[in-house]
Amino acid sequence: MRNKMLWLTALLASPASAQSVPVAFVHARVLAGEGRVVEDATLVLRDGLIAELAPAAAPPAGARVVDATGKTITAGLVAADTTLGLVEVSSVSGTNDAHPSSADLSVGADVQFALNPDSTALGVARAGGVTSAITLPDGARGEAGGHHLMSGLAAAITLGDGGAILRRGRIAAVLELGEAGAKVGGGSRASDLVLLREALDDARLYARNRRAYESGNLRALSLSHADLEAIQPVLTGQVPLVVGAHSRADILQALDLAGEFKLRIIIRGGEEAWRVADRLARARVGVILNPTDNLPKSFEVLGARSDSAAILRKAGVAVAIIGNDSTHRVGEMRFNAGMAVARGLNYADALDAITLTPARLFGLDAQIGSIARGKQADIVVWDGDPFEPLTQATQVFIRGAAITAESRPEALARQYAKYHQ
Amino acid sequence: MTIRQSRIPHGGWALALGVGLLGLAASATGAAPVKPAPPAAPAAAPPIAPVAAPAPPPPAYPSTYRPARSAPFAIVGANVFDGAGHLFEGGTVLVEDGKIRAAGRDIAVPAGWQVIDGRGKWVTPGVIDSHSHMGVFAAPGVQGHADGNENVDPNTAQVWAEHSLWPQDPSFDRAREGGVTSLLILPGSANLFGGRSVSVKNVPSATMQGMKIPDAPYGLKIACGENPKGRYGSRGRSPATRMGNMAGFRKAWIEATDYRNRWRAYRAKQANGQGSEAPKRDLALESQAGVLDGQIMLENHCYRADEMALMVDMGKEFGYRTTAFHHAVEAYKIRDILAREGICVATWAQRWGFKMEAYDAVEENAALLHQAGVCVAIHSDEAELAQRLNVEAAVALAAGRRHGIQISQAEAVSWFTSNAARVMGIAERTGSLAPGKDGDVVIWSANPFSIYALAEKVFIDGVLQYDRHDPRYQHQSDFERGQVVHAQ
Repeated sequence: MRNKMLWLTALLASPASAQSVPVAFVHARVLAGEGRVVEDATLVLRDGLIAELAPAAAPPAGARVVDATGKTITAGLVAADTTLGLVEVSSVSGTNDAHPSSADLSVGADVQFALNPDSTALGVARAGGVTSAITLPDGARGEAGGHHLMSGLAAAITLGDGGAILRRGRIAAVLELGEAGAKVGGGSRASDLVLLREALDDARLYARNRRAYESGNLRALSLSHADLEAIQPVLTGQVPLVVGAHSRADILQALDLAGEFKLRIIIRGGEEAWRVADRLARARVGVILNPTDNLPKSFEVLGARSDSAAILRKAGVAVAIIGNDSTHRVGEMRFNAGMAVARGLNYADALDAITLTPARLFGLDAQIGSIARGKQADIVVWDGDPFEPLTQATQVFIRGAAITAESRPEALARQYAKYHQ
Repeated sequence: MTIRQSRIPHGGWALALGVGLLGLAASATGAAPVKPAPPAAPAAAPPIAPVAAPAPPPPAYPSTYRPARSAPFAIVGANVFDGAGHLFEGGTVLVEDGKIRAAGRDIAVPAGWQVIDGRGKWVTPGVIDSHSHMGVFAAPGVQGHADGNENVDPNTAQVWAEHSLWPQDPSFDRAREGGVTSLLILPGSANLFGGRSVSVKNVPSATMQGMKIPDAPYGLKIACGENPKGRYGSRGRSPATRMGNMAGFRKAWIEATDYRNRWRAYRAKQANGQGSEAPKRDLALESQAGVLDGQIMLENHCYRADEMALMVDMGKEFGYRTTAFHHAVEAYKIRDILAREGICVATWAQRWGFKMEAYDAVEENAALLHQAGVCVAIHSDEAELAQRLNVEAAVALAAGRRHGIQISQAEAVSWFTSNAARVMGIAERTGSLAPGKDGDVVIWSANPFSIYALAEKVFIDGVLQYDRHDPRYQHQSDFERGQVVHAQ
């Protein structure tokens, strides 16, 4: 009993305070993930976890019963590529920690120390059904000196309104190839890819010779001590390397690099990934993309198209779909998933692309991303098809707790809706 | 993410048209074609002697756009939004000689006409984007294509967007695939006076003139707020502050007033048979004087409510009307003023937070404005969003419903059709399916407020310019033609 009390206390103090009373949704249409649809479902949330999902089951005694007739319930959306918590107003540098640019640090920059749980962008994303996000450094803006071959370390966050939002730090390292990479990697892909290899070689050398390094008996290395340490989990395959790559050629370079150093990579951007879908599938490399990025905005995305998610999925590539910017329009990911469906993507794959697949890519799928017993009770109640713009998230639960906080834009709109009628 | 970052607006824009006196209610009734009201002199403006208006300069860089001849056709059995507030379920649209002949229910199809089976489909007027930089910030977005901001001086009223417009921008093709048939192409917002806009039909052409809408009014783009003050303040020049912005505007309007008066005096003398030397033409002052005379629309990029209120007063100080405020994310805070002044708003639903003056944006903006009787358009400002203005409108509609604002879908169609046409001063010719208007029509696979809706056929002036199922009607720009990726 005492143990249980302690556990409850710990839960209450955790990022989103856990629920105190079980909640049972009845008569819901539950899209559980991986194509599993349960009609007339009873979904029970207990102690912050999914306790039960079954058709037409009686709710447990003592539960708060919510009639969800006509409602659709999904897992909370997982945003794969964001700067949530790092940015409040993009142009206000004091509120923008998305672009670490120290001359002495590249992959060592660690966003877990920069998270602002009071960012109003969290509430906006949550109102759109987003309950978890991967927050990552977006690369230097190029104005600072030094080289920043790698952007830094990503974190997983929860969008609960309880205060602390960090779920897990250092869940991935981030790297830009292509035009952006060349810019920080010596002005050319020719230098960028070599400098990267040198850095990874140095980090391996360091790992085998820590003692010599500490005593000053190792040759000069191209990375700082913090960077050398930060990259180790990538080299051992513990965490993935998120590689911004857009053109076919750059994506193939990323695959080569991954093969050479035995890295787990995820392609980010991937406008031309569809051209090498089979290669990606064989290498089991997933892609994080935005189907609305369908314009030849640069020479590295001449092949950008809005149906690439469908092509990639047909080849067996894991696809995560994101929103229309990394902070303020994250919630638009559900519309982008719908647009991918209109262009050939299977509906179940599209839902997974904004829930389970991003969770899987970052090793979080044991806890979040689908509605399954024992997973965290992050769920969204929708008043219709979650991909439709006329559909609203009517309730969001994170760790079983109903989110009651109003987003700042909603507070403004409510205030002004009262006047000037 | 580099690519996504590039979507941060080039600046801002605002539109002003002399059509704001028509309330939404009028357009919603669909009783009469929306006719732009003449720009009335604002009541509070200082009296301006009613001297004969200067003759407009001869048309320069004239439109060469002539729609191909098209056989008359009928779309039958579709759910038809007419852009003027109506939905006709199982409706018919007749298009003849490039013009709408009729739209509604129980309309007979004349013998011999081509019939398009619209059962299960939805029809709207062509989508109109009232704020675009296509062609002037063309894709690919390389330095060689950065032709939208003449950002070397806070007043560049002398430049014309049509002189930058690259018709091969592949964004035009993608927009057409999203149903876009007309666009207002504006200069950027780096300067107080950014230059003239141009209204185009979204037709493939090797020249700007081949897209330019004949006789469409020009607009003058001006910009409040962070963009001009940030651009020039950082260079140690005025404007460095919002009060500097205002001083810069006022100085320019004073000079434009003087210029206008010199031309009036000259023309009066000419009319009286008195010989007189014509003042020297000044391109910047000519555009500004055109606004003062009501011949050129004023399209005003402006985010904050307090600044828009100042701009309204500035219009009264100098006797011009604002056609529309563009972006105008805080317009909801002063919707009573905007309704009273008859100023349109062209805005988004979901873009916010990228700079301080965009911090108070709410998805409800359009619905709150519409409810207050303001003419609202959903615009893009970015080539991706231009492809789904219908979805952005749906988000705005849903936001209003959260607050109990009931606006029908039929009314909200005006946000990306007829109201956008008003912002551009082309509502007499397009934006709804009223008889006599241009045959700009989109056939959708589903209700356009659904995420699954795809534009299947897009007609511009009665000519099929896009067909999702027929490669012959899928134009490819010269830039994309022959690229290896497209040869695969």
